[in-house]
Amino acid sequence: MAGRRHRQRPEPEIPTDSFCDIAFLLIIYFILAASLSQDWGFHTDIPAGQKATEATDDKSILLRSDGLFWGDRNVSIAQLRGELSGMKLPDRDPNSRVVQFEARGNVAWQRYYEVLAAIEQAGGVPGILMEGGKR
Amino acid sequence: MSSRRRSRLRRPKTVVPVTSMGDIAFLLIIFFVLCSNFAKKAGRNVEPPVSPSLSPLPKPKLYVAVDADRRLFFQGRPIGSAGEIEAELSRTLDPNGSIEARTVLFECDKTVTKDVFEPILESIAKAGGVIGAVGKEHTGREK
Repeated sequence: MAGRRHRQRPEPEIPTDSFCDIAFLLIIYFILAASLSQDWGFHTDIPAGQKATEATDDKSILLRSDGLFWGDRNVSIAQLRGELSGMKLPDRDPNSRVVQFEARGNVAWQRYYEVLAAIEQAGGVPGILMEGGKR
Repeated sequence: MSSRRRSRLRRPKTVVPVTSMGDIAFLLIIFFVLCSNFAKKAGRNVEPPVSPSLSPLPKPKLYVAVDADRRLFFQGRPIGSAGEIEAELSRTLDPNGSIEARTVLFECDKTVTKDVFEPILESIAKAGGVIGAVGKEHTGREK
């Protein structure tokens, strides 16, 4: 009986192998999720105050719920892109690249965004006319 | 006799120490959690507008969002009005900083109307921010 007491007991261990598996799965998740979160869009520095008054042309863009207008002409977004690229805005002086843009009525962000993107992609600076007055 | 003895003798188990691997793995997790920015966007009901020829935007330091239910968010937390966004941006932004430093990522649901998003654009501009308007590249399949 006394001999039995002297037998070596196995050391108690906490199994940690599964922790590693979980941790590495989490790492893979974070790597994938972080690299997939690239945002796409465009930059627009809306001029404040007086700059907007220095518009490039008499023509301005008007967006209403019933259509898009370039001056007094009803145009599609593709036509507007063509008109803006024809103005060769990148060749102009930075101060005369402002294109006036006004939205009337409750137009959705999708259509507003398309117009802003068209101005930016043509090398222009949107001079947004807001309800309270020019920006 | 000798073979019986051998079979009775216990061989020591081969154990690969994995405790330190676990430590390293959890340190890496903490690193990714702290360095990632997607947590700010989690759970938002935002369908961005579609447009052709968009370019990749930098990782945002400042982030404003409007979801489909017209709720405003600043840095991932709900905020009351465009005026509050302007106040927050005025505190954070350096008007003389670089374009990258002044970029405010603006993500808005495509169905949100002008009465909601235009005051926000105005407040970002007033605070000296450059708007990084988030969209989705046109693939030709959209309506």
